[in-house]
Amino acid sequence: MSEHCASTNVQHNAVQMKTRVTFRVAADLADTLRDLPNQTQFVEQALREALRQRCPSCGGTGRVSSRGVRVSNFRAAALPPLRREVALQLRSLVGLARRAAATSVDLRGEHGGVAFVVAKGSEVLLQGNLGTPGARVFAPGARS
Amino acid sequence: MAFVITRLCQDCVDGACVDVCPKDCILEHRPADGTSELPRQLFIDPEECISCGICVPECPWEAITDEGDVPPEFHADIALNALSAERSRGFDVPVERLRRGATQEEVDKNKQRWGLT
Repeated sequence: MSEHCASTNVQHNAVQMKTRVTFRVAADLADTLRDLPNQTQFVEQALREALRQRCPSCGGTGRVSSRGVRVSNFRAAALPPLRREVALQLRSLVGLARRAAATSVDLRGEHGGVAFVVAKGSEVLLQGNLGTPGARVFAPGARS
Repeated sequence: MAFVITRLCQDCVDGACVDVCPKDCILEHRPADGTSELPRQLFIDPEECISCGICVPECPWEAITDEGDVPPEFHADIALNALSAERSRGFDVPVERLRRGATQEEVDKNKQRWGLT
């Protein structure tokens, strides 16, 4: 191993020094954690994964919709104005998303229409396009 | 910035906007005891509004406007609409729709009633 490499490893180890954090959890979860052979690694990995993800409930906005599903804001997403028939399609789609207990309907402008992705957390339930001729809907996991 | 239902809706309450709102964020105040201290009109929950603007051309009374375009005389209506987000209790999607529409003469007369020329 070269000297440069060894030096890099020392620096890396210093950065990776662990700090003890204490927190309370429910008794059943504590029992499960105690049974794990690699508690620190498991908790650290779970936290890193959770922090990397955008919150599925609020989509990173910090506010949870009281009406069940978060839908893209037209201004924030720079979406084109809705035609009435597309608005009615979107209304049906949001209703469907609520019934499917989805957490988000993400929209983006695409080829003069509106592309959508209905998701439950990180799981895509349905995606497709509104308002374009020959619009197609794709349901991941569905049999064709 | 959301859309706002101004006082031009008061006592007109057509409800056409409710049928096209993709988010069901146009609400009426319908408390459990049946008595509302708020004006008889519809409100847009600004926390739920996705700013699609489809409700604007639907209102025959021209009562809905962008928050940034609300006339100074109607600025209090912005806070009135916000009540529907702050006080979720008693606000719900309207059950009945009047949907009778309005003539231009009626629209103008309603605007005059509220001090708009």
